[in-house]
Amino acid sequence: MDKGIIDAATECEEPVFFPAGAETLFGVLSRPISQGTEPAVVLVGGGWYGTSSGRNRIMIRIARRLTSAGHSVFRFDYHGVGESTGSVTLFDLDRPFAEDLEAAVAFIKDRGLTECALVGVCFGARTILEIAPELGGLRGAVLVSPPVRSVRDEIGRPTRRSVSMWKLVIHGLRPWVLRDLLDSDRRRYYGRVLAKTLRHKQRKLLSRGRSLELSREGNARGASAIFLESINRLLERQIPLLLIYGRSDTYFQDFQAERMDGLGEVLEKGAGLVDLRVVDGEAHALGRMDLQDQIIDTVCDWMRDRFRAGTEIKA
Amino acid sequence: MKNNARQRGHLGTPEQMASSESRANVGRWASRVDMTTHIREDVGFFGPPGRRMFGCTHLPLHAPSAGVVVCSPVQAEFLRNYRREVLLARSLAARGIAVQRFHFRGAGNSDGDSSEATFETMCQDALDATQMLIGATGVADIAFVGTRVGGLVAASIARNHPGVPLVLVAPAVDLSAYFREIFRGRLVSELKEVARGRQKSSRAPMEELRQTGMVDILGYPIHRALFDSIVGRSLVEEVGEGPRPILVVQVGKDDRVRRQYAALMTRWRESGFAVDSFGIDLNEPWWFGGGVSERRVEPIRASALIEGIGHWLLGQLSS
Repeated sequence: MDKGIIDAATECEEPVFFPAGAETLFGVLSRPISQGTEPAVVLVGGGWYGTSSGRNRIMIRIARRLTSAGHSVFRFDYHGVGESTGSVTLFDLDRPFAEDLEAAVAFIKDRGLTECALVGVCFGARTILEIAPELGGLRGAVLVSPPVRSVRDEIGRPTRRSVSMWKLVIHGLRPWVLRDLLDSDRRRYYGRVLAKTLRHKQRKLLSRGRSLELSREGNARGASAIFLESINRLLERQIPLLLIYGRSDTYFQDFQAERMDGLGEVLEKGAGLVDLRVVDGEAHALGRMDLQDQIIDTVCDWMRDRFRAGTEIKA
Repeated sequence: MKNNARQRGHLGTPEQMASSESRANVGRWASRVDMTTHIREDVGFFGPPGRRMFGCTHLPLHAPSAGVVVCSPVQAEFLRNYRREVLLARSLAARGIAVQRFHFRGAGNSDGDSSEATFETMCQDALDATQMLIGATGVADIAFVGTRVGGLVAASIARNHPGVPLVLVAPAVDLSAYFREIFRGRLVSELKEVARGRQKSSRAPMEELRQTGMVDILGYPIHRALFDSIVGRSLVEEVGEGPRPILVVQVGKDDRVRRQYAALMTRWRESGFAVDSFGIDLNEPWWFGGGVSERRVEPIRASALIEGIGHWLLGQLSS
């Protein structure tokens, strides 16, 4: 039995239809039985054919757990998914469904929930980053396994990075890197990064005089410009962020690589605002129940610690 | 497309349609009217407080000619098939047939936990959904559609309605084989983990199920209660002896009818059932999917499936 979830979950829930452009989306608004606590939470699902419930009802479990803790929570189906109208054939990380999320946030504001935190998984996390930087009333964001690079970087065009050896050495001496070296998987990963960097340096030496090859977005770094700019803007606004990755996620490997470069500089500017949690396994796939439980606990604990939520009602 | 989420059709809201005795068993609902397809959708919760189910009633704007109850598959298959069921229901409603979809208790948006679900509770849920549809619309003619294990449920409750049409989509014929296939999926996934140098589970799925009462299959729980209540069953027994029209929909890349389906259909025909079948050319992994590589939504052959089922049901329900 899911811990901390009240049995009569649907007693707190209201199904709704709301407009999003030309489409009508479906959502479920959960309100706490007792006096609520700010902020409200909007759950933004991953990009796949599944509904707002998510794999093994993970979004529903997060919603009901947070509602038990006093938060109003809104989960919704993207257009073309679940009970919503419309159709969709591609979830493009570079073209997230910003309009859908904007409509969802507008809906809850109409219901008097003027401040919110956003919780998104993968495509949902990218959707959040698309609108969050300028979103009024935003109190926080949780990004589960957010892809750092653009989709075109992932499908075969390697993005060149310019990382100086000196920077690599400095980064390698940081405490969390030294700690990671105790793990065999992490040692292998760092070995691959080092080998890749050395190969890049070698090619550069051999092709001295050629201009530095830029990534698709005219950025000498590998991280997506939108990702970098969004994170940077959120931290400038003092918006707390929780990033959750699985140690085996390919997206985490990308994140770690980019941390050694521009992304690391951005994150360091937001020290105290950014929490990074790494769970064992693949967070992105949510393919294990114990991992799902870890993620739910991490999200709910972070919400409690950041926003001093009310006491959970035990089942 | 003009959608109005506030208009009501002539049938009234679910709260209005419920009798005073049953009004307490109707939770909150939302309605949407689609003036392009001339259907109305009522989405919400029904059933006794604390044990409510999430349901979707798809209605034509005029009085429906018949009703269909859709019994979903479970766990990963439930999500995999979800949108197809939504589109099927909308298509049928646009053709004058009321459709009731629902989430089993312990699944989806319904109350309860998956550990409480058994075949018996699933059948009761389907019966409650059927009553919901009949109570809301007054339809006399009814049919059932079930996918995978949902087909077993649909077949079981259809026995309460002699002679009504039954649609079985990719039905699980032998439930022992069905669970073996699911458990094999986990073993395949674990082999991949071993190949990547990650530790695999130390217990086989059946052993884990016996020892702990639950087995984790790719992030979905299969509980002992559900397993024990289903594993010894067969589709033949659930369909029973009373003849009825049956449509079997095969999903897969096979060019020919699968042996298990062929044997089943032969047996039914010999017993006086009117049996039809068609295949959907689709590689449906059911329990796999939703990963990083599946960013492109697989063309789920919804249109062929919906047209085939819709055409057959219309023919059955109008005759």
